[in-house]
Amino acid sequence: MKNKYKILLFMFALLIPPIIRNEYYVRIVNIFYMYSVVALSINLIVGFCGQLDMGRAAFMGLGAYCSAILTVKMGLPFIAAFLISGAFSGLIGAVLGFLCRKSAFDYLTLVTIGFNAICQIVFLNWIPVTGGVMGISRVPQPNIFGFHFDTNTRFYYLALFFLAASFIAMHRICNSRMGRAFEAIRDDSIAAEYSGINVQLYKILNFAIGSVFTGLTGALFVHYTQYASPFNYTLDESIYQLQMAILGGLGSLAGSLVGTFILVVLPEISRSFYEYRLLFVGILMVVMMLYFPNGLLGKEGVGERLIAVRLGMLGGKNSRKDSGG
Amino acid sequence: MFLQHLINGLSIGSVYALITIGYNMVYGILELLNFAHGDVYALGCFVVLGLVTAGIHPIIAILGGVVSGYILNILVERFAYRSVRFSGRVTPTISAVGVAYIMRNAILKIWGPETYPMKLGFRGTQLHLGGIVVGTLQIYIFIAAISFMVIISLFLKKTKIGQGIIAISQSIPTAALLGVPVNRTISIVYGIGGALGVIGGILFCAYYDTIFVGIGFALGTLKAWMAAIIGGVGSLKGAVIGAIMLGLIESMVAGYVSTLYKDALVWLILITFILIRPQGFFPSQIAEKI
Amino acid sequence: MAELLRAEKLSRHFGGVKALTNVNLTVNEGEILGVIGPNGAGKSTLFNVLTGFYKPSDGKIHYKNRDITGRPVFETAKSGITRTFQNIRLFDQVSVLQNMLVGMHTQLRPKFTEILFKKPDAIPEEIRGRKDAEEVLDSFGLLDVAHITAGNLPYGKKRRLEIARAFISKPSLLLLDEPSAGMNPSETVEMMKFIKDIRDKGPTVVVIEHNMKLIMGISDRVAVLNFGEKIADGTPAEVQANHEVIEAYLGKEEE
Repeated sequence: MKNKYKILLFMFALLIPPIIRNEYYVRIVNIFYMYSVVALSINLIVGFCGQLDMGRAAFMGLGAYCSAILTVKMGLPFIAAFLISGAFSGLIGAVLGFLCRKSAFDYLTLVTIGFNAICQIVFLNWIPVTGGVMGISRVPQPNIFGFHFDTNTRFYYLALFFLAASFIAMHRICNSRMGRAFEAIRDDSIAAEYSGINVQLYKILNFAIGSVFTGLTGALFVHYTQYASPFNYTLDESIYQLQMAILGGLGSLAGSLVGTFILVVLPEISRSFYEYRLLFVGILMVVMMLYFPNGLLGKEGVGERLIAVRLGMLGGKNSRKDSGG
Repeated sequence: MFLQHLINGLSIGSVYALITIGYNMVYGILELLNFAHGDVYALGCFVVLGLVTAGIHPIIAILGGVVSGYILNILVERFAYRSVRFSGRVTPTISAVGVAYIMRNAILKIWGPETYPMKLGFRGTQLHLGGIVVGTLQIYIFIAAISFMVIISLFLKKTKIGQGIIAISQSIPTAALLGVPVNRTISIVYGIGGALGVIGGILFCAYYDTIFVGIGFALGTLKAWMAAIIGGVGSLKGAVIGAIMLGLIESMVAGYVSTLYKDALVWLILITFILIRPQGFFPSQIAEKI
Repeated sequence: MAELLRAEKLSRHFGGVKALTNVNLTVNEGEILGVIGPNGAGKSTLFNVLTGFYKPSDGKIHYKNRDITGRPVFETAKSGITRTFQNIRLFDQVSVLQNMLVGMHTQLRPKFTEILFKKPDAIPEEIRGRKDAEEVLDSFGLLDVAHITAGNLPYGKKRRLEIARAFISKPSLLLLDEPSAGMNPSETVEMMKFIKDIRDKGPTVVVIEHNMKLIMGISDRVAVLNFGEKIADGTPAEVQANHEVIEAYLGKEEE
């Protein structure tokens, strides 16, 4: 996209609350913005580095609880708690990445599922710290140097800024030497090693950076909903988030936003969709893997193929080869 | 008390073993993390429940469940896995996760999230042996696990299909060159895995006298996966020993450490195990080739 | 000629299988060394051990007068030993240009703050990298496909890209594992010239080959492996006259 369009898009985004003027819709957009960052972090880990992480919700939970505890129980200001939560989540991500640095593909997936389960059990049972089933309520709304983000519209600008900053940061990481190393590891970790890439270190880095973003989102979320609940960070939630990144296209950052938008907005439009959302996600996962493994906006994904059809140059290639194990 | 925990661990471990055998065959042959394994056989178990509720004799109902597990898994393989078999690791795994969610939500739509009593009529009696209680059912389960392991290993060694399965697990292209019908053989492996899963699932339900949707993933796929990793991926012996060890670990942790954190501790033990001995106790001997 | 790499009594066993036994090998700066031997003679294992992919069961590897035995692959790569593979290993889902930039991984070192706070096309290291990569692609005849996804290239171009990716890392020692595999005679002749050109541009080259014509035509020296042991080492003419070699390998070839 050219700069001109980017600026236009950003201007449009700034005008969304005054245009739609509906608290409920603004709220949905806010949630969409935050989940977008989670989907981006999943894309960084699964799409760019080929590490099938199925426990992202755990890191959201870590960020959320960390920030809630720091503000409610220790009285830290929002911005400090928010940043510390990101760092904390990133640190745990680095530790998990370090532990899994030599593991084969399957084990990382299992360890992330296990980690998600462990976090869930700890959130539920470590009552003195996490409040157990009751969770932590009355989490203060974001307040940066005296400015209160206490309405949906005010929060909207904070969420927009957060998404824009995260997107630019990830975009730059992915288009740098570091991002190329991630993709090299995904495509062929042996050839990557022979190119002088310290594969283990980069896997840890990838996991840590992704976890910083997931943790920050979790923290921001908890200050928005003002309540940390132990039931929000389940494996089902992780899978739903994973599907956001898959639907948009693994390896495409813009795709993550589209995938998130669809999966956040659809359940809000229809109650019955909400009931069937996990069935829908299941069917979507199978169908996409069989026919569109690169999602809507990925390389040779639905988008590119539609264009190819229109230009009459449909190729027969739809197989995405990722790193063999 | 220790003996009691040991007995309980052994019998729950034997149930896990039946579930793991089928899982590990697929795992070893295709290196596919079959996320759907548990949810597929859970659907089979619910079929049994439906048949029993409809007044059909439990034995026939179980046979019906086993057959439906066999057919379901073959269908899943045919439609959700076959065309992505060689598309790396991420793609087929996600497809399998999708199948798991489809199965699970199918169960939820038909039977809901409730827990049902599983009345099969062979609850068995309890034997009191010097302070410890052993259910006759526990003994049957143990015997069933061991006999299925023997039957499967004989099947692999003595039959033509079994030899084909072994050939495929070494190398699919080579097996194809040798004239092994690859697709049909893999279908059969999945079918057997599904059928054994239903048997394991039914024994699980009989053991606890209940059935609910969670027997698929949390109590099925994940346990089978853990057991496979402890025992060694792709090894039949490893599947059984890993499953029994998993049962023992669970029952010991619950008995001596904490019931509240039982699952968390079992996960921690497993993660530690992965870090220390990633190849399991009975590693299959295939070196990575450049 | 100065010595670049020296392997002393290198051995590698897999369980009971002896893939390499007591191999002594010297590589001199600026030469092309051919490594030949029947299937399963241990040629690829030799590459794997020299680059640190396998730790040797026994023996030492000296490179530029330093002991590099047991160093991990990425470190030997950083110190200037790189390779290509018998079954081509490219980064299939990214573009040809990106493959080249990954090859330059150890040379391009932008700071993390630069990555975060500057646009990718405003970082000096990135600009330099792109320019160099395009130059090398041009000299390898791949510039016109620079933006094509590597996995979609035809076979011959994949081979060339793999060598280009190794070449751009500015190695001192380039190991080529059967570069002419799957090529027809005219492509093979082209590949011979190509390998010589590469040597003339800098790196010392070690080539594993099955193709006798190719190896005898371009090598300054040839080492022969059989059943994991080195049975001969010398100029192509010397090796061709060696009885043991004729028995083990060439004899069958000439039948």
